[in-house]
Amino acid sequence: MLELRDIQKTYNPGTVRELTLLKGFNLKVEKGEFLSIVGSNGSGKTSLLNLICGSMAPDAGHILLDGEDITQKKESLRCRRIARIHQNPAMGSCSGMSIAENMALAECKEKRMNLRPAVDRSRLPAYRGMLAELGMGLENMMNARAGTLSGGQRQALAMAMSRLSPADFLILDEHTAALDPKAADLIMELTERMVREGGLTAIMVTHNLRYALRYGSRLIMMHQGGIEMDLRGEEKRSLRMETLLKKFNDISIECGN
Amino acid sequence: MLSSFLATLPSTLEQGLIYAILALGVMLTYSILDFPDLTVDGSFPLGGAVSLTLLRAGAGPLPSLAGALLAGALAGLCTGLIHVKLGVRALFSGIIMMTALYSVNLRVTGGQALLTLPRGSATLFRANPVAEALPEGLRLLFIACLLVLLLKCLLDAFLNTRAGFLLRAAGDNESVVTGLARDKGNVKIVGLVLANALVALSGGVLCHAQRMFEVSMGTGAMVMGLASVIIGTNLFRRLEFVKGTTAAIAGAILYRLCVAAAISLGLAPMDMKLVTAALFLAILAFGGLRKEKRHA
Repeated sequence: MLELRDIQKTYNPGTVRELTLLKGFNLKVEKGEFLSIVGSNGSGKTSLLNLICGSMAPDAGHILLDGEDITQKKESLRCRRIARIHQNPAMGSCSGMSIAENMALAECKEKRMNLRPAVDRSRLPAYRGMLAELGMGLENMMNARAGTLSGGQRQALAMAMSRLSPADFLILDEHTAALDPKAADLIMELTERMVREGGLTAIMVTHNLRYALRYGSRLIMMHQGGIEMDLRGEEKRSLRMETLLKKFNDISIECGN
Repeated sequence: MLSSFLATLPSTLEQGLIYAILALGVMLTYSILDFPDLTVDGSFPLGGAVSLTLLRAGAGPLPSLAGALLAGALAGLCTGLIHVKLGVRALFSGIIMMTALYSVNLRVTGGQALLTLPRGSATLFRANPVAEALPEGLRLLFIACLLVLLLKCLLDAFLNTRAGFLLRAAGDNESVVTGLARDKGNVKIVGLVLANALVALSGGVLCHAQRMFEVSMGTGAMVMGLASVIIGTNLFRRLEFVKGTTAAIAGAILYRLCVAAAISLGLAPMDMKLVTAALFLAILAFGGLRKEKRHA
């Protein structure tokens, strides 16, 4: 279980551009939950992810993972349990390394980084099988450099890589935003499957209200650092697009968007 | 003109091979780690100072080079710690170490700016069993060639290990390293240690060949290494199967050939650094190789 307790975050403190984004923010995410977060620009969605992953520190408050206070823990150490898929597909793999090499690298996460050969040839068929499931033809280009892939292919590779390096938390940072609609749909399907099959706890920030509605077990709408809407279970299932859209428009108009 | 070029060809090749070790080190930081490391200008002569001082104190050729390797590794460690732990920018960390090493090098030699070997003392290329078994004229070329090949194979093998993959990832995409729950700073430090160890070894080997150390021998070492790496990368740009190590070695040899050609055209030794700079500029401006940013 992940818990954010009384989080405080101010940007540019002491300047004219000072902006207090999060003030006494609280959030609990239960084990096995698939939480979608929507909200307008500047509502604090991405800040929230950065705080959870440790790429940003809160000014005050605590972040707890299964009861352990991880507020001061380094980003790289948090990554032992948290996997993150970024908005920019290029962030998930190494451009200069081949697909097979990237997969092998991902599989090293749990192992010692010693002088053993990185690519275990006997694992290649397994990689190929995993890539074939993605339906993007990646299994036939194992030696192609990741830098030569399209955005959708590259994001799919990032997903496959995070399957190889197990974590119990999956953080999805607008991970379909840079993709064309078809690739985005495919990546969402993959995401859903990965969360379900891996029994993961997932937090997804998205601008796509349709995805937020269709996927996940809980939906949060954020506005100016606060939670405007928090639905789960039956409430979430019975939520209709019009209701969501109306709520979204209301808060957007409020701040002049 | 041509005849003078051909007459110096063997020694040009020898020099090229010795500087190839330097190029391998620079390749590690510049191409793989994406770190502009100016420590090189200090760690190259450091290797020379340490190995020659050890030789003069009666150490064997191999222990003296091991000393150079270790000293270079330490210099790289310092640069890495300054950059990672104190948060000093890459370029400045290198400049700080380069400056400090100038004095360190003089300390190592006991304050002497010039150090020579007594007649008859053993080096990597003379008065040792391997060298004795080789014909006089081929000793340097053969041993240097063997050493470069050995180092190339070791480096290639290393870059395909898990540790090597992590190093490549750190230069390629830091967020992948973080995602693997590894500290990208520590990976960078390891890279700098290895690179400067190679650079210092190159300086040591050069001093073995020349049988002397000179405190300013490091000036321009970084540029020379960079030029070699960039020439090599440019040369084999379209041939993906050519490894970076091969390209760096070929680049270093080609670079020495260019310098030798410039000398045989009538330029004086004091023009050397000017030639170095002009060559490097020409490669950057007309080589058509712009370092592309691969990720945001």
